[in-house]
Amino acid sequence: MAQYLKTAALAAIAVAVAAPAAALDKVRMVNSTKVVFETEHPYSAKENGMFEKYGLDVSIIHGSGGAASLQAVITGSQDVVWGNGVLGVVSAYAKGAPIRVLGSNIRGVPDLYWYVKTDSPIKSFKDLKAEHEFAYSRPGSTTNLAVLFIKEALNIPAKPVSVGGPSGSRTQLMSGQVATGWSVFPLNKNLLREKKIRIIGTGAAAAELTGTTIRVIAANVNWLEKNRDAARRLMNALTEGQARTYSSDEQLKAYAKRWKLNYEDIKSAPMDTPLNSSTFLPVAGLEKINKIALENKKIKKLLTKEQLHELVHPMGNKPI
Amino acid sequence: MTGSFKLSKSPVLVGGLGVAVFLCVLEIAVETGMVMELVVPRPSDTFLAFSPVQEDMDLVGNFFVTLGMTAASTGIALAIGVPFGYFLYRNRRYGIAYEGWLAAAFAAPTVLLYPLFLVIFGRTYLTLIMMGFIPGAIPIVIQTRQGLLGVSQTLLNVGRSFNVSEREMFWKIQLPSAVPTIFTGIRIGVMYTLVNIVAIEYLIDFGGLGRIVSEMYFRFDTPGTYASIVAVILVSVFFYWGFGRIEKWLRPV
Repeated sequence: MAQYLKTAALAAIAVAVAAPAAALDKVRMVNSTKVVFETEHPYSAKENGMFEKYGLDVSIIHGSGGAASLQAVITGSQDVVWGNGVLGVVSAYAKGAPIRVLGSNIRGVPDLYWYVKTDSPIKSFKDLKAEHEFAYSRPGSTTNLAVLFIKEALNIPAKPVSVGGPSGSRTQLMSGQVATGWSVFPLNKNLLREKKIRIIGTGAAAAELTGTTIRVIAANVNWLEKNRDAARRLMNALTEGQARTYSSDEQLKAYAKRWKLNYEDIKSAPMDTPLNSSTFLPVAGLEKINKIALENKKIKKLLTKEQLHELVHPMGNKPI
Repeated sequence: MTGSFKLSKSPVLVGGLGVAVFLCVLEIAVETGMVMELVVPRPSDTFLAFSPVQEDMDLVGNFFVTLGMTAASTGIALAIGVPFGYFLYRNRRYGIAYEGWLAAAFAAPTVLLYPLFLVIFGRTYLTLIMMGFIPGAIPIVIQTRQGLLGVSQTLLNVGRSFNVSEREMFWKIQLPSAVPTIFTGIRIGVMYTLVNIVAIEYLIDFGGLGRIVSEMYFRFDTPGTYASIVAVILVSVFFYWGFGRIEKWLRPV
Protein backbone atom coordinates (compact mmCIF):
# COMPACT_ATOMS: atom_id res chain seq x y z
CA MET A 1 0.00 0.00 0.00
CA ALA A 2 2.80 2.34 0.97
CA GLN A 3 4.54 1.49 -2.28
CA TYR A 4 1.34 2.32 -4.17
CA LEU A 5 0.99 5.67 -2.45
CA LYS A 6 4.62 6.46 -3.14
CA THR A 7 4.24 5.66 -6.85
CA ALA A 8 1.03 7.66 -7.06
CA ALA A 9 2.69 10.64 -5.38
CA LEU A 10 5.64 10.51 -7.74
CA ALA A 11 3.31 10.27 -10.74
CA ALA A 12 1.34 13.29 -9.48
CA ILE A 13 4.54 15.30 -9.08
CA ALA A 14 5.69 14.30 -12.57
CA VAL A 15 2.35 15.35 -14.06
CA ALA A 16 2.45 18.64 -12.17
CA VAL A 17 5.97 19.40 -13.40
CA ALA A 18 5.18 18.42 -16.96
CA ALA A 19 1.83 20.20 -17.10
CA PRO A 20 3.03 23.76 -17.91
CA ALA A 21 5.19 22.47 -20.78
CA ALA A 22 2.37 20.35 -22.14
CA ALA A 23 -0.03 23.29 -21.96
CA LEU A 24 2.01 25.32 -24.40
CA ASP A 25 0.49 25.54 -27.87
CA LYS A 26 2.97 24.65 -30.55
CA VAL A 27 3.38 27.05 -33.46
CA ARG A 28 5.69 26.44 -36.41
CA MET A 29 7.00 29.66 -37.85
CA VAL A 30 9.10 30.10 -40.98
CA ASN A 31 11.14 33.26 -41.24
CA SER A 32 11.34 34.16 -44.91
CA THR A 33 14.88 35.48 -44.67
CA LYS A 34 17.82 35.92 -42.33
CA VAL A 35 19.85 38.77 -40.86
CA VAL A 36 17.46 41.57 -41.90
CA PHE A 37 16.46 43.60 -38.84
CA GLU A 38 12.75 42.80 -39.09
CA THR A 39 13.51 39.11 -38.77
CA GLU A 40 14.83 39.68 -35.28
CA HIS A 41 11.49 40.20 -33.52
CA PRO A 42 10.49 36.51 -33.31
CA TYR A 43 13.91 35.75 -31.78
CA SER A 44 13.44 38.56 -29.33
CA ALA A 45 10.08 37.12 -28.29
CA LYS A 46 11.49 33.61 -28.02
CA GLU A 47 14.63 34.49 -26.07
CA ASN A 48 12.87 36.81 -23.66
CA GLY A 49 10.09 34.40 -22.72
CA MET A 50 7.27 36.25 -24.44
CA PHE A 51 6.03 33.19 -26.27
CA GLU A 52 5.97 31.17 -23.07
CA LYS A 53 4.22 34.01 -21.29
CA TYR A 54 1.43 33.69 -23.86
CA GLY A 55 1.37 29.90 -23.59
CA LEU A 56 3.16 29.22 -26.85
CA ASP A 57 6.01 26.96 -27.91
CA VAL A 58 7.18 28.53 -31.16
CA SER A 59 9.74 26.90 -33.43
CA ILE A 60 11.47 29.21 -35.91
CA ILE A 61 13.09 28.02 -39.11
CA HIS A 62 14.40 29.93 -42.12
CA GLY A 63 13.06 29.67 -45.63
CA SER A 64 15.04 30.56 -48.72
CA GLY A 65 13.07 33.63 -49.69
CA GLY A 66 9.41 34.52 -49.79
CA ALA A 67 8.04 32.07 -52.33
CA ALA A 68 9.62 28.99 -50.76
CA SER A 69 8.61 30.09 -47.25
CA LEU A 70 5.06 30.79 -48.30
CA GLN A 71 4.90 27.42 -50.00
CA ALA A 72 5.80 25.79 -46.67
CA VAL A 73 2.80 27.48 -45.03
CA ILE A 74 0.45 26.78 -47.92
CA THR A 75 1.25 23.07 -47.74
CA GLY A 76 0.76 23.09 -43.98
CA SER A 77 4.29 22.06 -43.12
CA GLN A 78 4.59 25.38 -41.27
CA ASP A 79 1.83 27.42 -39.63
CA VAL A 80 2.98 31.02 -39.94
CA VAL A 81 5.32 32.86 -42.29
CA TRP A 82 7.13 35.94 -41.12
CA GLY A 83 8.16 38.72 -43.51
CA ASN A 84 6.72 37.47 -46.78
CA GLY A 85 6.24 39.86 -49.71
CA VAL A 86 2.60 40.91 -49.89
CA LEU A 87 2.55 40.47 -53.69
CA GLY A 88 3.40 36.81 -53.26
CA VAL A 89 0.66 36.37 -50.66
CA VAL A 90 -1.91 38.14 -52.85
CA SER A 91 -0.81 36.03 -55.82
CA ALA A 92 -1.07 32.78 -53.87
CA TYR A 93 -4.43 33.75 -52.34
CA ALA A 94 -5.81 34.59 -55.79
CA LYS A 95 -4.95 31.03 -56.87
CA GLY A 96 -6.86 29.57 -53.96
CA ALA A 97 -4.02 29.09 -51.50
CA PRO A 98 -5.19 28.66 -47.88
CA ILE A 99 -3.37 31.75 -46.65
CA ARG A 100 -4.44 34.73 -44.54
CA VAL A 101 -2.60 37.87 -43.45
CA LEU A 102 -2.26 38.39 -39.70
CA GLY A 103 -0.41 41.66 -39.79
CA SER A 104 1.89 44.00 -41.61
CA ASN A 105 5.60 43.41 -41.33
CA ILE A 106 6.65 46.65 -42.93
CA ARG A 107 4.90 49.51 -44.71
CA GLY A 108 6.82 51.22 -47.45
CA VAL A 109 10.40 50.26 -48.21
CA PRO A 110 12.47 52.47 -45.89
CA ASP A 111 14.88 49.62 -45.14
CA LEU A 112 16.00 49.27 -48.74
CA TYR A 113 18.94 51.33 -49.94
CA TRP A 114 20.94 51.82 -53.10
CA TYR A 115 24.66 52.41 -53.19
CA VAL A 116 27.62 53.03 -55.47
CA LYS A 117 31.35 52.54 -55.16
CA THR A 118 32.98 55.36 -53.25
CA ASP A 119 34.80 56.62 -56.34
CA SER A 120 31.59 56.82 -58.38
CA PRO A 121 30.53 60.27 -59.62
CA ILE A 122 26.93 59.38 -58.69
CA LYS A 123 26.05 61.16 -55.45
CA SER A 124 22.29 60.65 -55.29
CA PHE A 125 19.38 59.09 -57.18
CA LYS A 126 19.06 62.29 -59.21
CA ASP A 127 22.54 61.77 -60.71
CA LEU A 128 21.43 58.53 -62.36
CA LYS A 129 21.46 58.96 -66.14
CA ALA A 130 20.00 56.84 -68.92
CA GLU A 131 23.24 54.88 -69.30
CA HIS A 132 23.28 53.86 -65.62
CA GLU A 133 21.87 50.57 -64.33
CA PHE A 134 19.36 50.93 -61.50
CA ALA A 135 19.66 47.63 -59.63
CA TYR A 136 16.81 45.52 -58.30
CA SER A 137 16.60 41.85 -57.33
CA ARG A 138 14.17 40.24 -59.75
CA PRO A 139 11.09 41.19 -61.78
CA GLY A 140 7.99 41.67 -59.66
CA SER A 141 9.98 41.84 -56.42
CA THR A 142 9.74 44.52 -53.76
CA THR A 143 12.99 46.07 -55.00
CA ASN A 144 11.63 46.06 -58.55
CA LEU A 145 8.55 47.92 -57.36
CA ALA A 146 10.68 50.36 -55.37
CA VAL A 147 12.90 51.11 -58.38
CA LEU A 148 9.88 51.76 -60.60
CA PHE A 149 8.28 54.05 -58.01
CA ILE A 150 11.57 55.89 -57.33
CA LYS A 151 12.12 56.38 -61.06
CA GLU A 152 8.66 57.81 -61.42
CA ALA A 153 8.83 59.99 -58.31
CA LEU A 154 12.22 61.53 -59.19
CA ASN A 155 11.94 61.30 -62.98
CA ILE A 156 15.11 59.21 -63.25
CA PRO A 157 16.00 57.91 -66.74
CA ALA A 158 18.30 55.07 -65.51
CA LYS A 159 17.45 51.59 -66.75
CA PRO A 160 16.25 49.04 -64.18
CA VAL A 161 18.44 45.92 -64.19
CA SER A 162 17.78 42.66 -62.36
CA VAL A 163 20.91 41.67 -60.41
CA GLY A 164 19.64 39.09 -57.93
CA GLY A 165 19.95 39.29 -54.14
CA PRO A 166 22.13 41.61 -52.03
CA SER A 167 25.26 39.48 -52.40
CA GLY A 168 24.91 39.11 -56.17
CA SER A 169 24.21 42.82 -56.40
CA ARG A 170 27.34 43.65 -54.40
CA THR A 171 29.50 41.36 -56.57
CA GLN A 172 28.25 42.95 -59.77
CA LEU A 173 28.66 46.48 -58.45
CA MET A 174 32.15 45.96 -57.06
CA SER A 175 33.30 44.30 -60.30
CA GLY A 176 32.03 47.31 -62.25
CA GLN A 177 29.31 45.53 -64.21
CA VAL A 178 26.53 47.78 -62.94
CA ALA A 179 26.47 51.38 -61.78
CA THR A 180 24.38 50.82 -58.65
CA GLY A 181 23.78 48.09 -56.11
CA TRP A 182 20.85 47.50 -53.80
CA SER A 183 20.76 46.18 -50.28
CA VAL A 184 18.67 46.14 -47.16
CA PHE A 185 19.76 47.49 -43.80
CA PRO A 186 21.98 46.34 -42.14
CA LEU A 187 23.48 44.16 -44.89
CA ASN A 188 26.67 45.57 -46.43
CA LYS A 189 27.01 48.13 -43.68
CA ASN A 190 30.55 46.89 -43.19
CA LEU A 191 31.33 48.19 -46.69
CA LEU A 192 29.88 51.55 -45.71
CA ARG A 193 31.96 51.61 -42.56
CA GLU A 194 35.06 50.75 -44.56
CA LYS A 195 34.12 53.52 -47.00
CA LYS A 196 34.09 51.13 -49.96
CA ILE A 197 30.55 52.12 -50.90
CA ARG A 198 28.33 55.17 -50.54
CA ILE A 199 24.53 55.29 -50.19
CA ILE A 200 22.81 57.30 -52.92
CA GLY A 201 19.28 56.94 -51.59
CA THR A 202 16.83 54.77 -49.72
CA GLY A 203 13.43 53.26 -50.38
CA ALA A 204 11.88 56.24 -48.62
CA ALA A 205 12.16 57.97 -52.01
CA ALA A 206 9.44 55.64 -53.29
CA ALA A 207 6.90 58.01 -51.77
CA GLU A 208 3.96 56.27 -53.42
CA LEU A 209 4.74 53.13 -51.44
CA THR A 210 5.02 54.91 -48.10
CA GLY A 211 2.33 53.62 -45.79
CA THR A 212 1.56 50.66 -48.06
CA THR A 213 2.07 47.21 -46.57
CA ILE A 214 4.91 45.53 -48.43
CA ARG A 215 5.74 42.51 -46.30
CA VAL A 216 3.36 40.60 -44.08
CA ILE A 217 2.95 37.97 -41.41
CA ALA A 218 0.64 35.30 -42.78
CA ALA A 219 -0.83 32.02 -41.61
CA ASN A 220 -2.30 28.88 -43.07
CA VAL A 221 -6.06 29.39 -42.84
CA ASN A 222 -6.71 25.81 -41.75
CA TRP A 223 -4.33 26.27 -38.84
CA LEU A 224 -5.78 29.70 -38.11
CA GLU A 225 -9.37 28.46 -37.93
CA LYS A 226 -8.40 25.78 -35.41
CA ASN A 227 -5.97 27.94 -33.44
CA ARG A 228 -7.37 31.44 -33.55
CA ASP A 229 -6.67 32.06 -29.91
CA ALA A 230 -3.09 30.86 -30.32
CA ALA A 231 -2.74 33.16 -33.34
CA ARG A 232 -3.90 36.13 -31.26
CA ARG A 233 -1.47 35.24 -28.49
CA LEU A 234 1.30 34.81 -31.03
CA MET A 235 0.75 38.29 -32.42
CA ASN A 236 0.69 39.75 -28.89
CA ALA A 237 3.95 38.00 -28.05
CA LEU A 238 5.49 39.23 -31.27
CA THR A 239 4.38 42.77 -30.48
CA GLU A 240 6.24 42.55 -27.19
CA GLY A 241 9.22 40.97 -28.91
CA GLN A 242 9.29 43.78 -31.42
CA ALA A 243 9.05 46.40 -28.68
CA ARG A 244 12.05 44.87 -27.00
CA THR A 245 14.10 44.78 -30.22
CA TYR A 246 13.43 48.46 -30.71
CA SER A 247 14.14 49.47 -27.14
CA SER A 248 16.83 47.16 -25.81
CA ASP A 249 20.49 47.56 -26.46
CA GLU A 250 20.98 44.03 -25.13
CA GLN A 251 18.67 42.66 -27.82
CA LEU A 252 20.62 44.51 -30.49
CA LYS A 253 23.79 42.94 -29.16
CA ALA A 254 22.12 39.52 -29.27
CA TYR A 255 21.07 40.28 -32.84
CA ALA A 256 24.65 41.19 -33.78
CA LYS A 257 25.98 38.06 -32.10
CA ARG A 258 23.42 35.78 -33.76
CA TRP A 259 24.37 36.82 -37.26
CA LYS A 260 28.03 37.61 -36.54
CA LEU A 261 27.49 41.25 -37.38
CA ASN A 262 29.51 44.16 -36.10
CA TYR A 263 27.51 45.90 -33.40
CA GLU A 264 28.59 49.26 -34.81
CA ASP A 265 26.92 48.30 -38.09
CA ILE A 266 23.58 47.42 -36.58
CA LYS A 267 23.10 49.84 -33.71
CA SER A 268 21.31 52.28 -36.03
CA ALA A 269 18.97 49.52 -37.29
CA PRO A 270 15.96 50.80 -35.29
CA MET A 271 16.36 54.16 -37.03
CA ASP A 272 16.98 52.61 -40.46
CA THR A 273 13.73 50.67 -40.16
CA PRO A 274 11.52 53.00 -38.09
CA LEU A 275 9.00 51.44 -35.75
CA ASN A 276 6.14 53.47 -37.20
CA SER A 277 6.56 51.56 -40.48
CA SER A 278 6.89 48.19 -38.74
CA THR A 279 3.87 48.04 -36.46
CA PHE A 280 1.69 45.06 -37.27
CA LEU A 281 -1.36 47.20 -37.85
CA PRO A 282 -2.66 48.61 -40.07
CA VAL A 283 -2.36 46.31 -43.03
CA ALA A 284 -2.60 49.23 -45.43
CA GLY A 285 -2.86 49.96 -49.12
CA LEU A 286 -4.04 46.55 -50.26
CA GLU A 287 -6.10 48.17 -53.04
CA LYS A 288 -2.88 49.62 -54.42
CA ILE A 289 -1.10 46.27 -54.02
CA ASN A 290 -4.01 44.62 -55.82
CA LYS A 291 -3.44 46.87 -58.85
CA ILE A 292 0.34 46.43 -58.73
CA ALA A 293 -0.14 42.65 -58.58
CA LEU A 294 -2.29 42.79 -61.71
CA GLU A 295 0.19 45.04 -63.55
CA ASN A 296 3.00 42.64 -62.66
CA LYS A 297 0.97 39.60 -63.75
CA LYS A 298 0.96 38.22 -60.22
CA ILE A 299 -2.80 37.86 -60.54
CA LYS A 300 -4.98 37.44 -63.60
CA LYS A 301 -7.76 39.74 -62.40
CA LEU A 302 -8.20 42.17 -59.53
CA LEU A 303 -9.27 40.68 -56.23
CA THR A 304 -12.74 41.84 -55.20
CA LYS A 305 -13.33 43.96 -52.11
CA GLU A 306 -14.77 40.89 -50.42
CA GLN A 307 -11.66 38.88 -51.18
CA LEU A 308 -9.36 41.61 -49.88
CA HIS A 309 -11.52 41.74 -46.76
CA GLU A 310 -11.37 37.98 -46.32
CA LEU A 311 -7.59 37.96 -46.79
CA VAL A 312 -6.75 40.03 -43.71
CA HIS A 313 -7.30 38.66 -40.22
CA PRO A 314 -5.83 41.50 -38.14
CA MET A 315 -3.73 40.20 -35.24
CA GLY A 316 -5.31 36.79 -35.72
CA ASN A 317 -8.88 38.06 -35.32
CA LYS A 318 -11.62 37.41 -37.83
CA PRO A 319 -12.02 40.17 -40.44
CA ILE A 320 -14.05 43.02 -39.01
CA MET B 1 0.17 -13.79 -73.39
CA THR B 2 0.46 -12.91 -77.06
CA GLY B 3 -0.54 -9.31 -76.29
CA SER B 4 2.09 -8.91 -73.57
CA PHE B 5 4.68 -10.47 -75.88
CA LYS B 6 3.92 -7.85 -78.56
CA LEU B 7 4.01 -5.08 -76.00
CA SER B 8 7.47 -6.12 -74.87
CA LYS B 9 8.60 -5.77 -78.49
CA SER B 10 7.64 -2.08 -78.43
CA PRO B 11 9.65 -0.39 -75.67
CA VAL B 12 8.60 3.09 -76.81
CA LEU B 13 4.96 2.09 -76.57
CA VAL B 14 5.51 0.53 -73.14
CA GLY B 15 7.29 3.65 -71.94
CA GLY B 16 4.55 5.91 -73.30
CA LEU B 17 1.88 3.72 -71.75
CA GLY B 18 3.64 3.89 -68.37
CA VAL B 19 3.79 7.67 -68.52
CA ALA B 20 0.13 7.85 -69.57
CA VAL B 21 -0.93 5.63 -66.66
CA PHE B 22 1.15 7.73 -64.25
CA LEU B 23 -0.45 10.94 -65.54
CA CYS B 24 -3.95 9.45 -65.20
CA VAL B 25 -3.23 8.38 -61.62
CA LEU B 26 -1.85 11.85 -60.87
CA GLU B 27 -4.91 13.50 -62.43
CA ILE B 28 -7.19 11.44 -60.19
CA ALA B 29 -5.00 12.02 -57.13
CA VAL B 30 -5.16 15.81 -57.62
CA GLU B 31 -8.85 15.74 -58.51
CA THR B 32 -9.71 13.83 -55.36
CA GLY B 33 -7.53 16.06 -53.20
CA MET B 34 -5.01 13.35 -52.34
CA VAL B 35 -2.33 15.61 -53.85
CA MET B 36 -2.54 19.34 -53.19
CA GLU B 37 -3.33 21.19 -56.39
CA LEU B 38 -1.26 24.20 -55.34
CA VAL B 39 1.82 22.01 -55.17
CA VAL B 40 1.23 19.61 -58.05
CA PRO B 41 -1.28 20.67 -60.72
CA ARG B 42 -3.49 18.33 -62.71
CA PRO B 43 -1.56 17.06 -65.75
CA SER B 44 -4.44 18.36 -67.88
CA ASP B 45 -3.96 21.86 -66.38
CA THR B 46 -0.23 21.65 -67.09
CA PHE B 47 -1.03 20.76 -70.69
CA LEU B 48 -3.45 23.68 -70.96
CA ALA B 49 -0.85 26.03 -69.45
CA PHE B 50 1.49 25.71 -72.45
CA SER B 51 -0.50 28.16 -74.53
CA PRO B 52 -0.69 31.00 -71.96
CA VAL B 53 2.97 30.53 -71.00
CA GLN B 54 3.90 30.67 -74.68
CA GLU B 55 1.85 33.82 -75.10
CA ASP B 56 3.26 35.46 -72.00
CA MET B 57 6.89 34.32 -71.95
CA ASP B 58 7.64 32.83 -75.40
CA LEU B 59 8.13 29.28 -74.17
CA VAL B 60 9.21 27.96 -77.58
CA GLY B 61 11.76 30.74 -78.12
CA ASN B 62 13.21 30.17 -74.67
CA PHE B 63 13.21 26.41 -75.27
CA PHE B 64 15.62 27.08 -78.13
CA VAL B 65 17.68 29.48 -75.97
CA THR B 66 18.24 26.77 -73.34
CA LEU B 67 18.74 24.15 -76.05
CA GLY B 68 21.32 26.39 -77.75
CA MET B 69 23.16 27.14 -74.51
CA THR B 70 23.27 23.43 -73.66
CA ALA B 71 24.45 22.55 -77.16
CA ALA B 72 27.19 25.19 -77.01
CA SER B 73 28.35 24.05 -73.56
CA THR B 74 28.30 20.40 -74.59
CA GLY B 75 30.14 21.20 -77.81
CA ILE B 76 32.94 22.90 -75.88
CA ALA B 77 32.93 20.09 -73.32
CA LEU B 78 33.35 17.55 -76.13
CA ALA B 79 36.01 19.55 -77.93
CA ILE B 80 38.08 19.78 -74.76
CA GLY B 81 36.95 16.70 -72.83
CA VAL B 82 37.61 13.97 -75.40
CA PRO B 83 41.17 15.11 -76.35
CA PHE B 84 42.00 15.68 -72.69
CA GLY B 85 40.68 12.22 -71.82
CA TYR B 86 42.83 10.79 -74.61
CA PHE B 87 45.83 12.71 -73.26
CA LEU B 88 45.26 11.25 -69.79
CA TYR B 89 44.99 7.78 -71.35
CA ARG B 90 48.21 8.17 -73.30
CA ASN B 91 50.08 9.65 -70.36
CA ARG B 92 49.42 7.13 -67.63
CA ARG B 93 51.03 9.15 -64.85
CA TYR B 94 48.95 12.23 -65.61
CA GLY B 95 45.90 10.02 -65.78
CA ILE B 96 46.52 8.57 -62.34
CA ALA B 97 47.43 11.99 -60.98
CA TYR B 98 44.38 13.84 -62.22
CA GLU B 99 41.51 11.38 -62.27
CA GLY B 100 40.92 11.69 -58.52
CA TRP B 101 40.91 15.47 -58.75
CA LEU B 102 38.51 15.40 -61.66
CA ALA B 103 36.14 13.08 -59.80
CA ALA B 104 36.28 15.38 -56.78
CA ALA B 105 35.64 18.44 -58.95
CA PHE B 106 32.66 16.68 -60.52
CA ALA B 107 31.09 16.21 -57.10
CA ALA B 108 31.54 19.90 -56.24
CA PRO B 109 28.41 22.07 -56.53
CA THR B 110 29.86 24.39 -59.18
CA VAL B 111 26.48 26.05 -59.55
CA LEU B 112 27.19 27.91 -56.32
CA LEU B 113 30.14 29.63 -57.98
CA TYR B 114 27.83 31.70 -60.16
CA PRO B 115 28.78 35.06 -58.57
CA LEU B 116 32.38 34.42 -59.62
CA PHE B 117 31.31 33.64 -63.18
CA LEU B 118 29.15 36.76 -63.21
CA VAL B 119 32.23 38.79 -62.36
CA ILE B 120 34.35 37.13 -65.06
CA PHE B 121 31.84 36.87 -67.89
CA GLY B 122 29.17 39.36 -66.85
CA ARG B 123 25.45 38.84 -67.00
CA THR B 124 25.66 37.27 -70.44
CA TYR B 125 25.03 34.00 -72.21
CA LEU B 126 28.74 33.30 -71.87
CA THR B 127 28.26 32.85 -68.12
CA LEU B 128 25.57 30.23 -68.79
CA ILE B 129 27.72 28.44 -71.36
CA MET B 130 30.82 28.38 -69.17
CA MET B 131 28.88 27.24 -66.11
CA GLY B 132 27.33 24.48 -68.19
CA PHE B 133 30.66 23.47 -69.72
CA ILE B 134 32.45 22.63 -66.45
CA PRO B 135 30.15 19.87 -65.12
CA GLY B 136 29.70 18.63 -68.69
CA ALA B 137 33.40 18.25 -69.49
CA ILE B 138 34.47 16.32 -66.40
CA PRO B 139 32.52 13.07 -66.98
CA ILE B 140 33.52 13.18 -70.64
CA VAL B 141 37.21 13.36 -69.68
CA ILE B 142 36.90 10.57 -67.12
CA GLN B 143 34.82 8.26 -69.30
CA THR B 144 36.99 8.84 -72.37
CA ARG B 145 40.04 7.73 -70.42
CA GLN B 146 38.17 4.79 -68.91
CA GLY B 147 36.78 3.79 -72.30
CA LEU B 148 40.21 3.76 -73.91
CA LEU B 149 41.72 1.89 -70.97
CA GLY B 150 39.00 -0.72 -71.32
CA VAL B 151 39.73 -1.58 -74.96
CA SER B 152 40.35 -5.31 -75.21
CA GLN B 153 44.00 -6.29 -75.43
CA THR B 154 43.03 -8.93 -78.00
CA LEU B 155 41.68 -6.23 -80.35
CA LEU B 156 44.86 -4.20 -79.93
CA ASN B 157 46.98 -7.31 -80.65
CA VAL B 158 44.96 -8.03 -83.78
CA GLY B 159 45.59 -4.45 -84.91
CA ARG B 160 49.30 -4.79 -84.27
CA SER B 161 49.42 -8.10 -86.16
CA PHE B 162 48.10 -6.23 -89.20
CA ASN B 163 50.79 -3.55 -88.69
CA VAL B 164 48.21 -0.74 -88.53
CA SER B 165 49.51 2.74 -87.87
CA GLU B 166 48.89 4.60 -84.59
CA ARG B 167 46.28 6.72 -86.31
CA GLU B 168 44.44 3.71 -87.75
CA MET B 169 44.69 1.94 -84.42
CA PHE B 170 42.93 4.87 -82.78
CA TRP B 171 40.22 5.47 -85.37
CA LYS B 172 39.49 1.87 -86.33
CA ILE B 173 39.97 -0.04 -83.10
CA GLN B 174 40.30 2.05 -79.96
CA LEU B 175 37.65 4.71 -80.63
CA PRO B 176 34.89 2.33 -81.80
CA SER B 177 35.56 0.10 -78.79
CA ALA B 178 35.53 3.03 -76.41
CA VAL B 179 32.45 4.72 -77.91
CA PRO B 180 29.86 3.19 -75.53
CA THR B 181 31.84 4.30 -72.46
CA ILE B 182 32.59 7.73 -73.93
CA PHE B 183 28.91 8.20 -74.73
CA THR B 184 27.99 7.25 -71.19
CA GLY B 185 30.20 10.19 -70.15
CA ILE B 186 28.61 12.44 -72.76
CA ARG B 187 25.10 11.56 -71.61
CA ILE B 188 25.97 12.22 -67.98
CA GLY B 189 27.77 15.40 -69.00
CA VAL B 190 24.92 16.81 -71.06
CA MET B 191 22.45 16.20 -68.22
CA TYR B 192 24.68 18.01 -65.74
CA THR B 193 25.22 20.79 -68.24
CA LEU B 194 21.47 21.23 -68.70
CA VAL B 195 20.79 21.14 -64.96
CA ASN B 196 23.47 23.73 -64.31
CA ILE B 197 22.30 26.03 -67.09
CA VAL B 198 18.66 25.90 -65.99
CA ALA B 199 19.69 26.43 -62.36
CA ILE B 200 21.72 29.51 -63.25
CA GLU B 201 18.92 30.84 -65.43
CA TYR B 202 16.62 30.40 -62.44
CA LEU B 203 19.05 32.04 -60.01
CA ILE B 204 20.06 35.08 -62.03
CA ASP B 205 16.77 35.50 -63.86
CA PHE B 206 18.47 35.49 -67.22
CA GLY B 207 18.39 33.25 -70.27
CA GLY B 208 15.78 30.68 -71.27
CA LEU B 209 13.58 28.12 -69.56
CA GLY B 210 15.04 28.47 -66.05
CA ARG B 211 13.97 32.11 -66.09
CA ILE B 212 10.41 31.09 -67.02
CA VAL B 213 10.30 28.43 -64.29
CA SER B 214 11.39 31.09 -61.82
CA GLU B 215 8.86 33.65 -63.06
CA MET B 216 5.99 31.15 -62.94
CA TYR B 217 7.06 29.90 -59.52
CA PHE B 218 7.15 33.39 -58.07
CA ARG B 219 3.69 34.03 -59.49
CA PHE B 220 2.45 30.83 -57.83
CA ASP B 221 1.35 29.73 -61.27
CA THR B 222 1.78 26.02 -60.61
CA PRO B 223 0.56 24.72 -64.00
CA GLY B 224 2.82 27.31 -65.70
CA THR B 225 5.77 26.20 -63.56
CA TYR B 226 5.21 22.56 -64.48
CA ALA B 227 4.68 23.40 -68.16
CA SER B 228 8.08 25.12 -68.25
CA ILE B 229 9.65 22.19 -66.36
CA VAL B 230 8.19 19.85 -69.00
CA ALA B 231 9.91 22.04 -71.63
CA VAL B 232 13.21 21.51 -69.77
CA ILE B 233 12.56 17.77 -69.84
CA LEU B 234 11.99 17.99 -73.59
CA VAL B 235 15.43 19.60 -73.98
CA SER B 236 16.86 16.68 -72.03
CA VAL B 237 14.95 14.16 -74.18
CA PHE B 238 16.23 15.86 -77.31
CA PHE B 239 19.87 15.47 -76.26
CA TYR B 240 19.40 11.95 -74.97
CA TRP B 241 17.78 10.92 -78.24
CA GLY B 242 20.28 12.89 -80.35
CA PHE B 243 23.36 11.40 -78.73
CA GLY B 244 21.79 7.93 -78.97
CA ARG B 245 21.51 8.43 -82.75
CA ILE B 246 25.10 9.69 -83.00
CA GLU B 247 26.34 6.73 -80.97
CA LYS B 248 24.53 4.30 -83.26
CA TRP B 249 26.01 6.09 -86.28
CA LEU B 250 29.53 5.86 -84.86
CA ARG B 251 29.15 2.27 -83.73
CA PRO B 252 26.39 0.65 -85.75
CA VAL B 253 26.88 -2.86 -84.34
